[in-house]
Amino acid sequence: MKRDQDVAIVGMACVFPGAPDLKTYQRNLVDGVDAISEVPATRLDPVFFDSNSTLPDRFYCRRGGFIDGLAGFDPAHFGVMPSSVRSSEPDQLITLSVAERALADAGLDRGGFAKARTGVLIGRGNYAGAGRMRLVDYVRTAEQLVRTVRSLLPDLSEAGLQAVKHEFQSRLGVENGNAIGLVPNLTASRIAHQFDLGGPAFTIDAACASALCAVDQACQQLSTRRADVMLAGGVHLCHDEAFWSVFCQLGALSRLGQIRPFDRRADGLLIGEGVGVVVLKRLEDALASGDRIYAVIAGTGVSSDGGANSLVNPSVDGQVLALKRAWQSAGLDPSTVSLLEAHGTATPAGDRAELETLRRFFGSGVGSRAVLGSVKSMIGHAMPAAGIAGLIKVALAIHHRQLLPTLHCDEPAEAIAQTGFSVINKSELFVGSVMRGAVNAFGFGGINAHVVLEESPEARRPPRISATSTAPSDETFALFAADTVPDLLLALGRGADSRVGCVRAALLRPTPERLERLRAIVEKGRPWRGHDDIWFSETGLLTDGGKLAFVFPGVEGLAVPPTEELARLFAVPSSLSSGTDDLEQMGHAVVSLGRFYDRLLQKSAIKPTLVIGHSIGEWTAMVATQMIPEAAADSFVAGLQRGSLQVPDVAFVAAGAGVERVAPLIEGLRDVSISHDNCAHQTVLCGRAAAIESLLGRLRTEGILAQKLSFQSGFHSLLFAAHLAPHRSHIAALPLQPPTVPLWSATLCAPYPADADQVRKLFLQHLVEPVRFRPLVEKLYEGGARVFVQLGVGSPTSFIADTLNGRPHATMSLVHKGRAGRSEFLRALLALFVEGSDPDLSRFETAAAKRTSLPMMLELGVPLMAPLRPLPPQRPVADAHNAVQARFAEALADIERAGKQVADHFAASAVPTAKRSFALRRLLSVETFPEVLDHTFYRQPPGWSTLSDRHPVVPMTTSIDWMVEAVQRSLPGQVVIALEKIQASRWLALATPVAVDIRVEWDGLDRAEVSIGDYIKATARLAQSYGSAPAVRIERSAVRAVDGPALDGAHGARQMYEQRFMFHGPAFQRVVELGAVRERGIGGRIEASATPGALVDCAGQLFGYWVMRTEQRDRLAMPIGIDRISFFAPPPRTGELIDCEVAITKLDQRSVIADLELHQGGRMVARVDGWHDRRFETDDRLWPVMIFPEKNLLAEPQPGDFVFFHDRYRSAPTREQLMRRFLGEPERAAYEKQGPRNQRAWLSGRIAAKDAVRQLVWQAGDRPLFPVEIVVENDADGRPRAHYGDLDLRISIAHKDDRAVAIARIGCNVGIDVERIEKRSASFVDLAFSKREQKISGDSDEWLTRLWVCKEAIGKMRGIGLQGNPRRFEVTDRAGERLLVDGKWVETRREGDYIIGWVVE
Amino acid sequence: MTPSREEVLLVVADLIRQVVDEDWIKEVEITMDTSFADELELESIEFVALAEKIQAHYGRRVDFAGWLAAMEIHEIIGLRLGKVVDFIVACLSTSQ
Repeated sequence: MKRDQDVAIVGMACVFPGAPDLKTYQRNLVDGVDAISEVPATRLDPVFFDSNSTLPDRFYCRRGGFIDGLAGFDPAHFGVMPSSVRSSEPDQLITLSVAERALADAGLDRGGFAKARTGVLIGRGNYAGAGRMRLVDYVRTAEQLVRTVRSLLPDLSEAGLQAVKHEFQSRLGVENGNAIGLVPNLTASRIAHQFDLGGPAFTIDAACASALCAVDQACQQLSTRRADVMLAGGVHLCHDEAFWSVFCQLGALSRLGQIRPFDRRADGLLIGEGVGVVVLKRLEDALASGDRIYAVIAGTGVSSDGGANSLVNPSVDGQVLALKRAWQSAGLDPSTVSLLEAHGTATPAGDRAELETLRRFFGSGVGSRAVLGSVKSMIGHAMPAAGIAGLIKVALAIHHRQLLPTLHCDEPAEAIAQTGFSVINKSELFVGSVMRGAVNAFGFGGINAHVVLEESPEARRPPRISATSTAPSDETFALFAADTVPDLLLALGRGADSRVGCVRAALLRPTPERLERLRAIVEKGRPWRGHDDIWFSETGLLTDGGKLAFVFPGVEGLAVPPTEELARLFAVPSSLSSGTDDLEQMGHAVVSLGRFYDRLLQKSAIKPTLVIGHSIGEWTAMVATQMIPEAAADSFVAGLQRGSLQVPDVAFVAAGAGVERVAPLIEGLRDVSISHDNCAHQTVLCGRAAAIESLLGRLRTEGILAQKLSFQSGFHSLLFAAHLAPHRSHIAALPLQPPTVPLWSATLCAPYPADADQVRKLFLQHLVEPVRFRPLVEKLYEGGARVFVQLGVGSPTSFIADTLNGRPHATMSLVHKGRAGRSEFLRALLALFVEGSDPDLSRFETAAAKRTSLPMMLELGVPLMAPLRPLPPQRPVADAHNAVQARFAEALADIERAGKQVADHFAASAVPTAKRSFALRRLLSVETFPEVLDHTFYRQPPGWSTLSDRHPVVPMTTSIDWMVEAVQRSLPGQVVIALEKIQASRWLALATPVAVDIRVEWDGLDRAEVSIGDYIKATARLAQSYGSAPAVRIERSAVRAVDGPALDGAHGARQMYEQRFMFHGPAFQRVVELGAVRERGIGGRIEASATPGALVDCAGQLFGYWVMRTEQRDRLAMPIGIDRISFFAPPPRTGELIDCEVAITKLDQRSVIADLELHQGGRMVARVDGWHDRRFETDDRLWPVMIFPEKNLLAEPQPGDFVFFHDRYRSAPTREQLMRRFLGEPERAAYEKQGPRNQRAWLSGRIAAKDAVRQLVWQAGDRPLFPVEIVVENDADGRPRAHYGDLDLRISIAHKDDRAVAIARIGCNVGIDVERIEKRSASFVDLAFSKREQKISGDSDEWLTRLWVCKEAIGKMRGIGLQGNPRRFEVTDRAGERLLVDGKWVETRREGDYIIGWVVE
Repeated sequence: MTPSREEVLLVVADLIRQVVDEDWIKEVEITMDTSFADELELESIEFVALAEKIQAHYGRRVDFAGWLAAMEIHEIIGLRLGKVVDFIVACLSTSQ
């Protein structure tokens, strides 16, 4: 028989249920893993399943094979915009990703093949994918929805309908402009485009035979030499409702939910999915280029059933024809088949026909061990991709010489026996000369394909050793840098590789899990230095003046590893390696490796600030620092003659203790000395053999671990003195120059001397004196050395770590576990990066390592939307208020749009817990939020135009509503079930428009930090639905009413507002019934409204009301924070009645805390735990002023018609209250200009003055008069002036300590003063008072003070003051408490320790 | 009373954590089966420091250095924790 072109399978990759990659697929095939599962709700909504229904939209079977969670795609890697991922068919992206892996598997990922002669053929059914389904919903279903709702609910307004449509469409996430991702043939074209391939690239639809038809076509391309390399495969990702409906209607799905090919009980298939791609070459080409060949495609055959049978039922004749053609083209004897991968769908008709085909074609001629199977039993029927799943299976089986099992064929159908094949349930090794297999794939409509495979001729030769020793994936790394830890966490969340910033982290092999681990480490904030190949440092050791030291190790009797791998990477000659036999050879290798590493570090932009060496490491250091010039270096190293280091009969002992413990033990031992003071736990001693034995004994007795080293040398001891001669002549001959980097000597614990002769001396000294490594390290540390890189093999880094134990430092060795490879070097560079260096990592950033972002998980399904939130009730369009609402709705829509992008990332992201955030700037004002005008703290006269005097502030509860809304809208399908740790830092006042950033930072799908500017922040908890409402905890009956039932009901609620217990206006006056005030609680009924925050605000009003009614002092309480609000239901609609119960849990002088429950029809809808109100300092004088400011004075009217104000109010919030209560906008500006010391007295004076005027006005008749209606200012001479209407007001103000007095009259001048009675010195008295005055005062302190205030009052009345001259006016007479000053009687009165004097012109 | 293997394990694990004194060691579960080299990545110097601590903790009853003297450092490093624990327990029970 003539044999057609053999085609080699040289690369494969796949994703199938249970197998994210080829390796896992192989393992699953061998182990017989059942990857069938229930349909994930993200693919098909549970509502569609009903095992008893025969309706087309209900499915009786709910199991299948799914690759959700395995379908990763890295948009950045492929240059795809992440935002367009959702608008592309997932099958295009995953096929692209799998194709890349197949090319890499074939060793073609770095080019090196004829791209122009490479093609792509992908079997793909023309079913609608997830992307197209979304578009259908967007374009068609949305319109159909509107039309249906419109006709069924004619009352609904057009705006309402459009809102429905918008809500529906906006949740689909369809992005305009990415439609190319929905064109079906792009599945193949994208691959050609990505890898710049010039051969034919197209998709093939031959139903279930698609993939094998693609393979058949690919083989033809190769055999006709129209292409040199072909990618062939199949993909199927179509678990959509329509697809399931078709298979249910056909009755093809298993009612038992199990796919049992060739089993007696087989009752149908389960739908699977997946993608597989193989890379094909002509066998001769593959052999020539030494490719790994999984298997050889010996022949392919394709046929159609022709007019036979129906379109549904398979035809045995047609199938047999395909088999015949394939084996003919293979030129092989069918009876030599060992493994036949059947179509094996487990539908009774299908299996029956296939077994009949096998019987007819193979007869009973196949070998006794010929195995029949179907991978569908493990992954389900992957439809157009089924053939490639089978082909990869057989190729793997042949490559590994295994016969693979089939699941659930516990009772094989009788017809199997007649085929000569058998089904196995455990994998077996193939025994025989050449393994051959075949694959069936038969499609609807009668399209049949068969492929014959066999072992490659290569397979019989001994396996080649792989040329790559380090998998590139081991060198994949990610770097992160930021200025702060929180920023770094954000960078981690984005998976964004960044290198600028001093807070740094790095990790090898980034995966979502490892990134998560890094994130946990960063969150802890403590440095992490390399364990598990993770590095993190908040302040790198090199950032703050820390120094980097290169450490050249000496000879320790360790093998020096080869460096070819690194040498290739850096394109430099590799260093010498060495075993452990020859000391000098080791020495050569140690120096060579040190020089090699020094060069590599230089090429990686790493420069030391100083250099040290351990033992002969100092020689390497001399070369590396060019102390010994490059030209002389080689001859210097060559001078290490065999035997030049050895001293016979002299040995080293490493003792596990510091020199202080070891030194006493060598006393009395001849020829033993300390040669290395390494660290606290190692001292090396050197001595003659006999003495060494006694030394070991002594050490053991002391309980000190000791070990003889494997080589003999007398280095660093006087025993070497006799062997110095060759070294002396050697060094004498060497030219020396100053080092390029400071080199420190471990002999001197100081830098090498500058003088060449001194250096030569030191060189010899070094050989006979101990290595003082520990004191050297101490010294360097003192000098700022923090990071130590060891350029070679050995222990210096552990000596350093031991010496510096407990102090911040880092050591890293370029040799790790005896390997001097690429990844060991890379690890050190990453460690250096984290400590603050900026290494050049470009050589490690190969194609595979360059990945800077992480794969996203593709969304494979279009699940039904989660229940939508009810639309807000509609209002008449003409309402101006509504326009404002609409504007705010727009703002929320912006939030929604911004959030959706983030949510999409989440939904698709492989890093579900990573943090992501966005901020949205919003302009808030009384225009955008007019209800705020019903939430102003200061009642002012009706129509008062200065908004800031009313002080409109956003209620904390409104901020809460906005935060909930922002979070919730940004994650469609999620609801906020709780808001925790709500902290209001300051009031969000809207007298002037404010731009705030509403910021949401997600921490996974169930948690978000949300804030509005720096005004308020909280943690939101999210879930897919509200939890069930807990039992009522606040029992009304358990608490005793203290206030009687008088306030019960609607009347009580009206009174609460009418009596102005609340400052709130109508929009927030929604408490409709008030319950009794109880000892520790209160209840009430609230009418829900559209005003954001009104409901919870009203609950807070009940709470506040309780404080006002039960407390006599500090009655005003304002919210500052809430521990937790839990929501158990969507917000109630406008007009619904909510019952609220408040339980006071804590009441002290400064704060009051309560728990609140909101019920609707007996069901809890929300619960507040730990609502904190701050209590404001009020007393029975201030309280009425706060409630009815237009009718009450804060200062006390005094006989004589002036007012006296004792300003007892100290706390800052209360002073703010006073200030805003009494001062208008310009006055507040003047107040702010006062110095902090003066502010208090100034305000007291203003309060007194305004109250004096109000008192004056009220004498003429009652009329409401707000403090703000009176303006007090100072004229050019500094005299206070008051203005109210057109009255000719004259005022005088005085203050002393916390007392203020003021007097006001109309049309005549007034003067007032207040002073404290104090002891006055004689000299003061003489200076201030005349003899006559002193006589009048009788020298009593009280009367001297009275005289003083009188003179002050007169001065003020005259408008000139005392002008610094207390003698300007003289008191000439006294009558009772009145004093005659300058011809005018001035009244005085004592109030406690104060004297007030006043006079009216 | 001779402490149980588990008690000794707790002591040794604590001493290991003192010696290594890095963040990651806090997370590592230290069991009888933990290897000094592979899981704990103990350098030989660290091992000496650990031996010192073990010696200091148990005193003369446990001749740790003597036991280890018979081994090469790399043998010691290859040890699993259970062997050390067993040795300590054996010393403590015979010295009773």
